[in-house]
Amino acid sequence: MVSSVNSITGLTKSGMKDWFIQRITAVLMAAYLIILIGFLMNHYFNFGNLDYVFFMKIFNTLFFKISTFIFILFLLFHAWIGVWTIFTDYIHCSVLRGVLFTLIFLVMLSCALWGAVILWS
Amino acid sequence: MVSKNSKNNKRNNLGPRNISLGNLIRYCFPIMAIVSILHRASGFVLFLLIPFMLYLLEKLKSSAASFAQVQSGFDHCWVLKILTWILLSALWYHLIAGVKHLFMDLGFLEEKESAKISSIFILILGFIGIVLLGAWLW
Repeated sequence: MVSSVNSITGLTKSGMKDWFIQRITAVLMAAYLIILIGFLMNHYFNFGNLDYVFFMKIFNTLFFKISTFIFILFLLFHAWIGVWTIFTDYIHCSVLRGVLFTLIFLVMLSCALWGAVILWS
Repeated sequence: MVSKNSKNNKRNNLGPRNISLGNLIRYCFPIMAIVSILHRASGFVLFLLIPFMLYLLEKLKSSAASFAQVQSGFDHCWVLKILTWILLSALWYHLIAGVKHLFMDLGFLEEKESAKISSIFILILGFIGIVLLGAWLW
């Protein structure tokens, strides 16, 4: 009963799927960060500074626009599953949890759209 | 695990269940639990800082002037500096503790001895990383 009610607010209907998505997004986000930091560090050690021109050269490529947007989406999925786990552990009032999940959903959707605007403006 | 809370008594036959925050304070944490709860706490901090990450990205990207503003902001605005330090520290700790978690998902580091050693390793590595990030920012 309790688990079936909780699964409504999970990312998918299945705990196994949520578990898997949280791990696969974690690995891919780590890979993205290593690539991004690698580019920045490489420039920093070759030229001694990080300037706007180089920063924009990176983020103007379609590769970084798309991969950063995917990163933001993965971050939100990953965070949703994490926050769901924390809230279902510590917040026992399902009404309060429902309200919080709704608010977080709205904030996350806004963040995803905001991220798209930032990347393509 | 066993709670005297009467609200939980009717669920006694359901096996392991969560313990309340009030109960948690009285527990003496093993080091593995500390690594685990810090992983959770750092993840929650990162979740709260998602709007800050986007704000930084927007500032860095919008113009050369605002890019320079962020760079010089680290020298003038201590809130920006501290928030960035918290963000990077939480990210670093969450990342290395997450790698340990993935190893545990694969069935490694789950014996008492290896769990203890790897937990100490993560705490030390986390501490070193956070200090280095602070040194880099200041």
